[in-house]
Amino acid sequence: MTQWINELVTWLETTSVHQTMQTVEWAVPAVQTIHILAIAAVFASSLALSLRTLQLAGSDWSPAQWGRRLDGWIGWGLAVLLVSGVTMICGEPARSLNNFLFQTKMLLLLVAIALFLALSRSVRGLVQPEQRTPGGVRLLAILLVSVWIAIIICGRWIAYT
Amino acid sequence: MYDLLDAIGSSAIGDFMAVDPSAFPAVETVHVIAITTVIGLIAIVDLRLIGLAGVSYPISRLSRALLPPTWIAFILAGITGTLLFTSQPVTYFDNMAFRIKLALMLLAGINMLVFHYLTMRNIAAWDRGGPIPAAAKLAGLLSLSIWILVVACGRWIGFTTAPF
Repeated sequence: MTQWINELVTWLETTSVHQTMQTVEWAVPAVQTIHILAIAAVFASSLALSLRTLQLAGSDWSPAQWGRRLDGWIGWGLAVLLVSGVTMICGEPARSLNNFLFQTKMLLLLVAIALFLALSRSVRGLVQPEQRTPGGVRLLAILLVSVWIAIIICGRWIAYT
Repeated sequence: MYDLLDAIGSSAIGDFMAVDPSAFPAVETVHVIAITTVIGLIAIVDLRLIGLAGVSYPISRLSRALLPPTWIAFILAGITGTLLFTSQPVTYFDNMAFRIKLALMLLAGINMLVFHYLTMRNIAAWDRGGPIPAAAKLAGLLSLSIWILVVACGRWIGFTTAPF
């Protein structure tokens, strides 16, 4: 693996977070629980926004209203995912950073953030509850949920590879 | 009881879940996708019930909108959870976190039934923005707390029974 990853692994193994994650028995499941709860916030919010965009649920509100309700949860959820994720990396840097599925997951995460920002921007214009969603915005919604499913798949399989 | 558990474990499905190297992680992945959907969608309704978010959406309409995807995900979580259980029935049955998790889900069910059949009777008065009664807020708070603990127990099961 590339030199900079190895250097990063070596450095992370000297941090106190690494020591804590390695020695405190409940630290890993506790951080994993927070990580899963944050996934629940981000994934279910993305799903709800997408279902509304596809006109499959929640028609009392316009897509713009749904966007305003859920944007913050997705944004803060992503922040919690980042912090809990980095904490888990510190715990086992060699196992995660060198893992192909982890690297794929990070790439997909960037795609998911870009898709979310694009969808969030697009629904702002959809202020009429009965208005039909344009095809491009529907595609964004389907892609966003699909990429998140792929991210979760990678995340779970990192533990087994 | 243990005879039954042994029978489940040695059944074709139990054997497949325990022996096939991809079966457990694949089913576990679907389980994670299903439970994050269930908990995230329930949380949207709970927060509305507590009065913390989305208060301009009528409660009955919001829960009706999100109920179908929540139930689909819940059934999927139940099926995948059962499959995971068949891989090591005795180990799970003896696991304290597993028992607490099942008890908590039972509590969540009772909480839901009490809300549905008692608290919701006079919902017309507070569905569209009137002051939410304490019983309804309590139902939302209980539901949110119970499901968070269910996730924690679920993760603890994995940690006390297997290396992952």
